[in-house]
Amino acid sequence: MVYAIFMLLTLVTLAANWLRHPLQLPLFIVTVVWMAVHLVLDMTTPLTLSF
Amino acid sequence: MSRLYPLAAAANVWALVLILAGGFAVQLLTGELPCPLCVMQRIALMLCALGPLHILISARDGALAGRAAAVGNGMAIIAALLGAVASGRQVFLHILPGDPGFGAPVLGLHLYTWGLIAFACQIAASGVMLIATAWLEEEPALWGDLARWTAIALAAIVIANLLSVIAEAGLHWGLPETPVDYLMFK
Repeated sequence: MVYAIFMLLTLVTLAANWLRHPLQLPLFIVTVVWMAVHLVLDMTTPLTLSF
Repeated sequence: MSRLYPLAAAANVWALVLILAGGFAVQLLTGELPCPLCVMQRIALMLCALGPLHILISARDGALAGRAAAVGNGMAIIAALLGAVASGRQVFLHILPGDPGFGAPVLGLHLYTWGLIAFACQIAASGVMLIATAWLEEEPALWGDLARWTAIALAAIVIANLLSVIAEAGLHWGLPETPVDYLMFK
């Protein structure tokens, strides 16, 4: 589900982009930062995204 | 230059859409489901596409400003760096001699290696686009239809991947390391 949430955030960011909504950049930043944290946790804990 | 700039941004988005479609095609044709790291790379590609799409949307109704070009290319570079970290990690996980890698190679390279190449190319392309803003003049360039269809194409591939990952994960928070089935249907 977490990956579906990332994709949903991407979709909402796309919609905000189209509508020129002020939240387009904050949404993009939140998505990127959350994904980066997810990746870092994979590299440093037994979260194990990896294969 | 001002008329070509949004066209270049559109070509960037379409290239990323085609890459995502290609990955989806491999999934459907070979039955190899994407692993969690693979899905992260797909999402990074989608986020990369939002950058040049921002440029195209900014140009749709009138003059493209340097600010919009800078923001769009910045978004693409940041997303590409994120994707490159995920791809690079997966390359390193399978770099030891004798490791068969994850998934079947396509044209001699695994998809995560192609992903790393794609993210590097995106960073280079965004760099070129940033330099090209030196010749950007604020003259009107109407790209409404192109922006609309490009946004629709990107949205469609995002939705397709969203449905695929929901089917793959079922009601679980994460994905299995080596997905073999769509858990939603089990």
